[in-house]
Amino acid sequence: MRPASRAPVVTVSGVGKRFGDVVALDDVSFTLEAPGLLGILGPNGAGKSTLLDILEGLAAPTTGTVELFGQPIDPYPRARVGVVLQKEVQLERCSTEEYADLFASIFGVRHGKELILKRANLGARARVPMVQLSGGEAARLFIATSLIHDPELLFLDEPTAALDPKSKREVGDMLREIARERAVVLTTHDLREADALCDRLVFLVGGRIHAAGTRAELIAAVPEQARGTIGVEDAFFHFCSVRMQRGDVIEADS
Amino acid sequence: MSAFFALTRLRALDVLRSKSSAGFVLVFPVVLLAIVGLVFREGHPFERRTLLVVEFGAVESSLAPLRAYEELRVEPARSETEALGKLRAKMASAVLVPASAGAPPRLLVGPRDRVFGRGLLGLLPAGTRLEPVEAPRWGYVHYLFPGVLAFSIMLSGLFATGYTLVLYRQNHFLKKLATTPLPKIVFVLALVAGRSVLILAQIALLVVAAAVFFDVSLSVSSALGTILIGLAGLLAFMGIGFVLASVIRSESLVVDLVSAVNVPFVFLSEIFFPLDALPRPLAALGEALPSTAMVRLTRSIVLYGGIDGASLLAGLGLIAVWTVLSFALGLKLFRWHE
Repeated sequence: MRPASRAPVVTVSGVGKRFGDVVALDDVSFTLEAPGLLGILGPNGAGKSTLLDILEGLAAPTTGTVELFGQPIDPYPRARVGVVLQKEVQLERCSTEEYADLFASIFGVRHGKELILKRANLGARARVPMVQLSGGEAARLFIATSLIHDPELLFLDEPTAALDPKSKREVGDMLREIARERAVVLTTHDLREADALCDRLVFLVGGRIHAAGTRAELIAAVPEQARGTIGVEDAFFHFCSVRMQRGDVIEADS
Repeated sequence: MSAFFALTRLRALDVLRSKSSAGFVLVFPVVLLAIVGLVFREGHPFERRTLLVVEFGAVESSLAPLRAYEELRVEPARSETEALGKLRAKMASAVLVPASAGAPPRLLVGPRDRVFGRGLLGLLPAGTRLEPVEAPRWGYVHYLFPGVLAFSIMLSGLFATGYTLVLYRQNHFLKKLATTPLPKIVFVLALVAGRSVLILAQIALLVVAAAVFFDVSLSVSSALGTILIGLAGLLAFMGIGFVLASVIRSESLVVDLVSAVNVPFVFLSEIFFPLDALPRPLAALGEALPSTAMVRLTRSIVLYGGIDGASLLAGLGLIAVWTVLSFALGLKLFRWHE
């Protein structure tokens, strides 16, 4: 069991990102402590993937800073971070076990292939071409692969997008288990999934954070007359559909 | 609109809306015609017959009468072995060996050049003896074999990095690798090693096929030399492909570009005919290509009985320069993820 750390694992301060005249992210700030599961919620085009690219060291912010484990991310601590991309690679002529073996080798983990297959519960599908895996099987493979070097921090970009309900539940269970020992950041536009999975939530719309906090804090911040029975979904539409027009940022946990 | 018409329109527009595909279909054939016209503007490569002269300096003055004949190319040969190799590979029509140890000068010709030899005899010093020599039926195929080998390696090298890297970029494999501690150089070396294994098999198959079907016989040392030169050439072309893939993002563009780049390489690398059959500027360009060095070195080893150290160093040196420069530039330009 990894000891819980109260120092922020992720510290994002005033991060902005521009592509020419387009503002993808504007003054984004939040922190995350371990263990815990932070969900970044937002519609398509909200800037979730851009933010994750920056957190994963794949893109540089135009403004602001990102610190992981209390240190700037240059050099990036690859050995301490796991990543599941939104569009994970599907190698046409590569079996499931060959894929697992490749990433176990890159991270120098002996018997890593077996560990990945066991964690993904894909032992019986080891020799199947990875393109023949179902959506849920593939998602489990990618998550298990991202954990092969036992990272302290895991980023996942829409890990359950396009999964059927049963696979969504399996992956959700897997993520909850992982987040008991680690800091996990995931993006999603599925409000109910975020509600069920995440300890803390960040509402990102149009590149700006409109609200951030725990589920209870966010719901509590919604006026009573606007509350329904759905929970986080009510909070999201309250902050992002109504108050976003005034450009307010709600720090529900502050 | 019928389904047939809609699909036809879709397919045509799909090509026309891609600048590289439209260029390849519409512009490239015209460019190819222009290249072919330029390459062969002085006639086809075998229009002029070649007479190779062993110990050229000793007999040069006696060959003056031959200068009047534009259809004849007189060239010095480094040795009788090399000259015979070229005669058997149909790259020369006759070989003049000067008198030695009391023996008269000899004019060696292949079995299909006896009439040409008889005509030539009348212009050579008196006493020159005409000697038909045995030549393999597949002589020109022997000449082509090193070219085919080099062409296969060239294509394989260009696609191994050029196409593969663009594909890996498009299917997010490079982005995935960027999230790991894998060093760039390890990734590139693995690409090179993977393709080298395949090229070894490719060379072995070509050598066996050439021996079985076309009587091209290689000694162990010739085969090893061929492999060494092949792998050196592969590196150069993988380097060129690496540069292309580092600046091109589109799969279709890189395929079109590699296909287009092949054409000048084929004409200017002595794959089908010697460079001296080309106009001087094109020949000079061909001299600088790694594929020309590959073809020449392999041809010397396989057909002409070996190669001298200086020529070997010069050829391998040229290939090495291309390799080092292209990989250095590629590594500088290459990004895991944009």
